[in-house]
This record gives sequence, structure tokens and C-alpha cells, in this order.
Amino acid sequence: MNQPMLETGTILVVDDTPTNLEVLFDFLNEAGFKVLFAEDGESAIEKASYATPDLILLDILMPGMDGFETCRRLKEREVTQSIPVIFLTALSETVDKVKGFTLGAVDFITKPLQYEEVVARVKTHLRVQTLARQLQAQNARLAHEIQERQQAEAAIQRQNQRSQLFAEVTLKIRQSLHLDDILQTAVTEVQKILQADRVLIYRLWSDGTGSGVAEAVQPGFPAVMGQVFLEEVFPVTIRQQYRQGQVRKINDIEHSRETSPCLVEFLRQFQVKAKLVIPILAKEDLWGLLIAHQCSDSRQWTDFEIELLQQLANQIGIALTQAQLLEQEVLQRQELARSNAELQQFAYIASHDLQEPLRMVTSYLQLLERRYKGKLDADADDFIQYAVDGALRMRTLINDLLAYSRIGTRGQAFEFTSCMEAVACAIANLEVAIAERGAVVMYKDLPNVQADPTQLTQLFQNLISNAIKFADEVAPQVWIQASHQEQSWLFSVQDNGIGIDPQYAERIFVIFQRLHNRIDYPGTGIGLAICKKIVERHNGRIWVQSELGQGATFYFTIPDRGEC
Amino acid sequence: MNSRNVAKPIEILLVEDNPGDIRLTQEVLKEGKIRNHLNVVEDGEKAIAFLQRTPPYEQAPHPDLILLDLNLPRRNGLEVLKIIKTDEFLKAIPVIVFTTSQSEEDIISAYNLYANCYITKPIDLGQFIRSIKSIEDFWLTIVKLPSE
Repeated sequence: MNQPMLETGTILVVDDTPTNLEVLFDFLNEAGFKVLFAEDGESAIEKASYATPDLILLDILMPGMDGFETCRRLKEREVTQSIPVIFLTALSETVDKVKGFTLGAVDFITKPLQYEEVVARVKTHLRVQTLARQLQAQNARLAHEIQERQQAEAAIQRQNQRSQLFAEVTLKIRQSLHLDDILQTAVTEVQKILQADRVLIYRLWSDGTGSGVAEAVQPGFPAVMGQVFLEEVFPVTIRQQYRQGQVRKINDIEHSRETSPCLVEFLRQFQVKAKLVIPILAKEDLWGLLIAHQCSDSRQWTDFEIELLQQLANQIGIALTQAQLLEQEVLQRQELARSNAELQQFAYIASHDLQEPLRMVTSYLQLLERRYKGKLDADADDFIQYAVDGALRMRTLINDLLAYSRIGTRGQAFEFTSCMEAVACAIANLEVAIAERGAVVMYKDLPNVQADPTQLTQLFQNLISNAIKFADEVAPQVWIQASHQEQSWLFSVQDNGIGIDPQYAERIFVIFQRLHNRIDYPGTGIGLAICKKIVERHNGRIWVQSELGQGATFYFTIPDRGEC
Repeated sequence: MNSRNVAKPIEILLVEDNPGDIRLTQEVLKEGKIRNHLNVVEDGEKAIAFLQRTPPYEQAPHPDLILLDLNLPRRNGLEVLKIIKTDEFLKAIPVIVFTTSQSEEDIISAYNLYANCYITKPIDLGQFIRSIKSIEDFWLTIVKLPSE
């Protein structure tokens, strides 16, 4: 009770002799108190219960129920027990004050009353009372705070425990990307944490049936694994609930309203007494269920356990998704490896088996030419000539194709390679062509890069060779430069040749794509395709910038991996 | 000069399964200057039988020179080469590997098994003829071969 002004309190005065009461009333009233009267114990208790005064002045000697008895009764009742009681006693009366205090009185005032004294005592006791109440309230608040803190602490502890369990199990689950391992780890760990008699991961198949795919079961209880269950075990409606992430908790199968008799019957064969079912969702679809069974007895599943299992089911879902992705990736990789192997086989066929019949065609055509040229008519000579040409070109194509396929399959390990040396080597290989065309190749300050030295030489050689081949009437000039970019070297091979129409800038890197006729510019169209494949094997990029008649600049990048 | 070329023809064993190549070799050798007798077997097993004179080759001559293809049915060329070069009576016979294979692996394997030389069959007839002529010149004229 909040009482900022003591004087606003209510005082109940209990006395059977109203003689002095009027004066008392005036004094108390003047001090600001509201005063109630009662003439006997019974009505005093009634009024105190009804009005709950702040203090009671109680006469001891009264007919019927005396003051002591009245006090005892007031102290018995919850509504009145905390109201301070001051006994009024006449000087002539010999009363047992100790008994009064024992009964819960706070003071004695002797009659005839000294009214100032009464008001002073009343005020004092009311202040004490107020202070006591404040103290009590404070204590209660403190007690409440302590309780709250303890609860929070317990919650944190539970959370920590859950986090730790969760982290441990998650780690174990994540240690494997193999599906069966993940599932087995999950059931084993959950079984350990819950001390459940059976933990099962149940796979729901697309046809509505289901079966256990991993199980940890305490010895002495039957295994569920290996059995296929029909659709009615988890009918569509239940599945729908699980799909939405709902958990199913049954503490006592035999006495649950949720379980139908046939389910109870069904669960009995596995001795299930309590169960907890958590859906496992993978990629937002219901993949299966994480099920905990208690077989020894019914079991009160706690929120803590349910939350932990939900989190674990989430983790299993994620792990499943990852495992599925990995499986797909492995399949793709196998497929890629297979197709690579096929390509290699193809290269072998191209180099051996295709060449054999081709050589026969060429050789015998040439033998025909050698022995019968001029002995048949002019047409026959022409025809033989065309056939020989075609066969020889096919031979070149096959060799080019073989060279192209070998870039990926016969590449050497990367090593720290000097581009200055690679270009010098390429120029030496092209010596004859360079001299024939009167070409000039300029290069300086080229870096060292991590590369396959043979392929790097071939790359420069093809680009220089192209630059010389696709030249105007003027003597070809080729500039080779390099500049350092953020994480790679950018090379440029610039010429003053016929240039390339920008619309063909992409197409020229495709194998056997040619932009010019064979008579003016011989070749199969393999050179730039090989360049592209080499650059890509080095994790770089190649492109061209050119305009018709303006020369061309080929750019390519090679990552700068330093010297290691 | 080899003294035997007056008395009896040079015995050449051609191990080759491609009839086109057999004929081509025959044609080219026919045009050559040196008297020779070309024996032909079409697979590795027959080559071994011929060289070891097991039936039906009991009467087979001891060849002065062997032209060996690598891609052969049954026993391949490298297997035949290994048998020749580990056989006391055969290992002195010069073996010329004459094949379409340009594979570095085949070349190394052949030399490791003591092939006397390795020639890739040229696609061009002119070069093919030159190759056979060179073999003839070098192995049958310039080189001194062991007598039987």
C-alpha cells in the first residue's frame, strides 16, 4: 500500500467504553486520519476485513471476545494479519504485555490516553509499517529478479548445451559427404543424446511407401530397418503436416488421444511406447523423417529435445542436399572423364586407323599417276590430280586435329618459363617463312610466366605465323608486348596485315573455321583454335581487336602466379 | 659390297598385314637394283613361326633383313621385336620398324627393344619409294651384314 502522507491513513478504534472516544476521534481527525469505530471484537474483525485500516487501536478488556482474542483472530486472517495492532490498556489493569506482543501487537498505550502521545505513536507505527512494507516489496522484487536471473541462466545453459550437442553432431554429420555415413552418424548421435531406445531415419519414397534407411537401436528391441512400409503408415494428410515442418510428439502411445487403435497396434509390434517424429526437408520437399522411439516406457519429450532434434533435422536436410549435389557432381565428373577418354581414343583412331586407309588411297593414286600419266586422256590426269590433292589435304586435317586434341591430353606440367625464349624459339621455327616474306618481328621486355614451355612456344608461333601469313603487299611487321594487369600478364601480338572484320572476331577461334580461300591463304583453320585451347589450358583468355585493312592485334592473358 | 648378292638373292622378311602396303613394297623392291627375295607374313604369330622355323615354315630361309609393322593382328610388332632381339639366333638380324605410327611411345619402345631403326611410312608415294630405296641402299649395299 502506497502512503506518501501518513496522515491520510485509516485508523480503526475498538473500545466498548465510548467515553473518551470522542476526544480521540477529534485528535486523530485533526492529524488527518480517517477514523472507524468498533465496539466489540466481532465487529472489529468484520470492519478490519472490510475496510483494511492501516492501524488498529484495540482495547484489551471488552465483554465477549477480549482484545487478545480479537488480535489473535486478526493475525490469523490473511487480509488483516499485516495490520499493526496497538493495545489500549488502563493503568489499573494488570495485563500480560508479553502475551500481547506474542500475539503480534506492536505497542501498548495506557489509559487515560495522552492524545498527543497516541497520535505520535500511531504516526510512528504507521511509518514503521510503511517502511516494512517497502522493504517487503523490495525483497519480493529482489527475489523475483533472482528467480528471473536463475531462469535466464538455466535457459542459457540449456541453449549452450543444445548448441554444443548441435555443433558436435553437425560436425560429425558434415565430416562425410557420403549419404549413408551422414545418416548413420545422425541416428547414432541422436540416440546417444536422447538415450532413446530407437532412433530411425525413415525415407519417404515418391510412391508413398517408406523404409528405414538408418537406425540406431538399443539391444533387446526389434529393428525397423529392412522393412518396407506401405503408404497408410504415413498417409497423405500426415505427410502434408510434415511437409509444413510440423513435429509430432506422443508421450504415451497407449494413452494418447492422437493415436488410432490401428496405429497403436502397429507401433506395438516394435514395442514403441512413446515417439517423437521430426520431418527432414531437403530442398523444401519432404525427404523423410527423423524418428525417436522410447520402448522401455512412456516418455515426456521436452521442448529442449524437440528443438534440438528440429535443428539436427535441418542439418541433415542440408547435408542431404549437399550430398546429392556432390553425387551429381561426381556423376558429371565421371561423365566428363569418360567423354575425355573417348576423345583420346578418337585422337588415337585419327592418328592410326584413319591414316592407314588414307595412305593407301594416296599411294595408289600416286602410283596410278606415276605409271599412267599421259597414257590416259587429259580428263583422267585431272581427276587423278584432284583425288591426290584431296587425299593430301585430308591428311593435313587429320594431323591438325590430332595436334589440337593433344593440347589437353599430352600437355606437360607448368614451369617457370621465359616468354623471351619462347618467342625466340617460335621465330627460329618460322625462319623460312619470315625470310620469304621479308617480315620483321619485334619484341622486348616479355615476362616469365608459369606455363607449358612447348605450348607457349606454339602459341607465339601460331600468332606470329598468322600475322605474317595474312599480310598486305607491304612487308609484314609484328610487335609483341606484355603489360602487367591485376593478377595476370596481358600479351599483345600486333600486325600490319589485312585485318579481320569485327563480326568474325569470335568465329576465327573455332576449329577449322576459315575466312579466306585456300589458294590465297592456305591452311586448315586450326592455328587459332589451338591458340585458344592453349590459353584456356593456362586459365587465360584470348581475343582479337581489328578492323578490315587496319591490321589486327591479338590479346591473351596468362595468370601471374609468381615464381613458385 | 655384299658378296652374296652375286650368288643368291637377299632374303627379306616383311611382316605386314595391309595388302596395299605389301604390294606397294613389292612394287618398289621390284624396281630396285638388288636381287632380293621378299617373304611376307601377315601377323605376329606367323612372323615368329617363320623365324623359328616351326610348322608350316620348316623350310623358311633365314632372313637378312626384317621389315616389321607394329600394328599387327595377334602378336603385335613390339612383341615380335622382343622375341627376335632376345633370341640368340635371331638378334643379329637388322629389324627395321616400318609403321604408320608416329607416337613417341611406340618409337621409344621400339628402340628400347633394340630395333635397328624406326621409319614412319610416308603418305606420299614418292617419299615411300625413297624410303624403301634408302633401306635398300643402306642396309643391303652400304652396311656389312653378318653372314648366316
